[in-house]
Amino acid sequence: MDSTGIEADVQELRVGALEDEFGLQLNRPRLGIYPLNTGICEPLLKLTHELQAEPWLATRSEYRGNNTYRFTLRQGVVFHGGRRLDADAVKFTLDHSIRVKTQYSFLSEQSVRVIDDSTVDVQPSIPNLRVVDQLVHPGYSAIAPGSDPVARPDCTGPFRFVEYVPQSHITVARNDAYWGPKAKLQRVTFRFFQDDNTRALALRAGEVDAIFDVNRATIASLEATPGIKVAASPPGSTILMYIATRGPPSYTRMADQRVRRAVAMAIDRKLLVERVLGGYAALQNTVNPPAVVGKYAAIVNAVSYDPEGARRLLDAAGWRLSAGRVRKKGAERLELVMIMQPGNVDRAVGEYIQAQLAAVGAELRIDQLDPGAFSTRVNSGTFDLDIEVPSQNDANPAFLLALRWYSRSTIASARFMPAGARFDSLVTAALTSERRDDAQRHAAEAMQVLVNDEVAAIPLAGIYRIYAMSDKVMGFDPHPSRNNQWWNTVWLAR
Amino acid sequence: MLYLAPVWLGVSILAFSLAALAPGDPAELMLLRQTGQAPTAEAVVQLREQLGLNGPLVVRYARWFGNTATGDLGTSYRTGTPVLELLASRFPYTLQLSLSALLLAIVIAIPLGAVAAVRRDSGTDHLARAVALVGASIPSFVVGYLLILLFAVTLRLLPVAGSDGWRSLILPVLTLGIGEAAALARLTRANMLEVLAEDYVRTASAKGATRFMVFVRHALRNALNPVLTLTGVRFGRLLGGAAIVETVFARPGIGKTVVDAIYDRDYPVIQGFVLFAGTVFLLANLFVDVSYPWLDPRVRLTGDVKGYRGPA
Repeated sequence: MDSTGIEADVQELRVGALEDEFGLQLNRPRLGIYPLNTGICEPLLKLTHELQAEPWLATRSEYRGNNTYRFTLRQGVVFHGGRRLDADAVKFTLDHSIRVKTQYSFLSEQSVRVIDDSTVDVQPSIPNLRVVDQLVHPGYSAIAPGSDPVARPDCTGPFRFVEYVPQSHITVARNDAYWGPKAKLQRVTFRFFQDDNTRALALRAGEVDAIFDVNRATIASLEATPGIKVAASPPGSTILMYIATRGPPSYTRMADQRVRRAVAMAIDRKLLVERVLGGYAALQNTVNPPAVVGKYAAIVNAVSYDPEGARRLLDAAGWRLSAGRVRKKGAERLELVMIMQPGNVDRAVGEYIQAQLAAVGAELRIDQLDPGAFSTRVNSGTFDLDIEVPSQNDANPAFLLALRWYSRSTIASARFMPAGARFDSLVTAALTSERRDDAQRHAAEAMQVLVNDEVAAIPLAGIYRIYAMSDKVMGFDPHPSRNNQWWNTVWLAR
Repeated sequence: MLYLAPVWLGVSILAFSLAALAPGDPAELMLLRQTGQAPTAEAVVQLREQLGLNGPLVVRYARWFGNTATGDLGTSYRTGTPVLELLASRFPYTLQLSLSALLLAIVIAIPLGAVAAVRRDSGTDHLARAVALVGASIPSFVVGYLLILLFAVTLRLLPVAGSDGWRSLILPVLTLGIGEAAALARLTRANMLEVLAEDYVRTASAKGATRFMVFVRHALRNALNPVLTLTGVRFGRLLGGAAIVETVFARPGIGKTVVDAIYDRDYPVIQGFVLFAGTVFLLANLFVDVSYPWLDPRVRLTGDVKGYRGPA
């Protein structure tokens, strides 16, 4: 119902979603679950808007010692196909996610043990008490044993799968047997639009009622369009500059901590947020959205803008400005290489950083790469700086820290970006803390080491997730994580 | 037709070597994507063996060519779908778009170019030339957005995007067709001006043929040969260049599929597409070649129009 208590006759919502990625076998997606979450499936725990884990299909999670969590399942939950949710279904789900390696949580096929009909133990293969925060990811949503999550997922969510037409749309309908409050919408159709502008035009033309991830360049025109409103979530992503602290030959300039700090001091992040990003971003010191470390976000202080200090540091590091505008150390010029993907980060952000580094005597070459070339460059460490926009899609405060800089990370790029022994011990502590509060504190301390003591990363800005929709769309609550956006509270006013 | 076989062979060599010699190892990239972890050297070698990427280039080409000859273009690394199946499922969308755009371009360009030539330096000519210049200068995606704004957002006559029914085809066809029409109109005008200055056109007028007959039968028909040749070339360009329009209008065509494959170093798809597009391009040009006699019967009689200056 709307504010006048009137509902539309037909509660069918049409959503303009991003590119159809369900057909990609390499990314092992699950139809309607990930990367686009249509609300047909649910995880054991749910990610709140404050990026915390709350009980969902599991009503209770209890640490049992020995790196093991015990989950007690909700009673009375049935899959769309009629099967009851039980411990075997949870084991099937988690084993499946392990087999297809969709997630990063140190689980193995020996990790999941059925205790009884409604109880499951989960023990990661290495110490990882954050598994309870990781299981909120929609990639861990419960699927009925025997169902095919790639073709026709049988789940427990407030909507059930109806139809999928590749490159066109996916449709879901209300699950009238849902265990919780029923969805207000009868049907939701997600239409795929790869092009940001077309997605916005489809909203203006009335072909869809709401759209995902509004392009920053089109926000103003959408806000000015009668009948359309724009909604922004709290920051869920970060424009983050990774630094190759231990790059291969030819990419060793950032090995010197003084040079890294000078780069950080040369960048006016406030101006970046206000002017380049048009205010649709937030100044942020943490590498993840601050909500995930809660009150401890305040202990993280990124390097402040100080171009004079940057010049002094570069002088001290032996990079001197004599003739010309680029500093030299002997015959070597201070030339840095930054890689980025168009479509992931605005080129304007790269050019802004280029101009700011030039002002302190560093020359920046920007290599804009397609995804294949970008992946190769990241994994071979052939860059000085790398701008990406990681998103927080689970409640683990140490997620990005453990993935990108931790010495025990198994991803290829981590060996080019070590952040030191203290950082490692803090990440280990965050991963092995039983209390979430301790994990948040350790993660925040690790971020402080990362962005201030070691300057192995520079958080440039927190990014809001922006949605636009018809004025008739009511009850929409924008989630900072796109993968965790739910539509069951939405309804259409007449 | 004899040139088709060596050219097709050349296309196949180009298709294979473009991908095989490109930087980056598809096996390593596949493993990185699948596991998110740095693959071991053994795993890379093993996967390269599975994918048939080891061994001398010539041997690999021969094997690929042999499979291709039997209709097996390999399997997409990205989706696991047989390449032929993937291309066959997407090609109809692109063919429908490209052919329709080409047809629209011809329908617009030939009258526009011809009238501009006949009324040389008149207001009509200046207007036609200005329209052609603008049409050729604006990037297709800009034309696409403008058309969407006008017909879908403002007038709400047509859908913004998609591939459901003929109405969803109109805006992409207009987008692609306008640029093509501009190029063809300029060529038609230039050829018409040349032909209108020929002696045989003056002779035909002097013999009492009506202005319309002179214009259509003697001038226009002769002016269309180079236009037809260009049309064949442009058709190949349209097939490859439809990717941007397909992305803007959310159409599941072959162009968009190939752009995605290039991003992901999906070599079987890239190789398959280059070979496939090359083949279609050759066939389109063959069609153009065999169409010449329709426009100029002397081609059929002599096999050569060189030195032909119009009817005696």
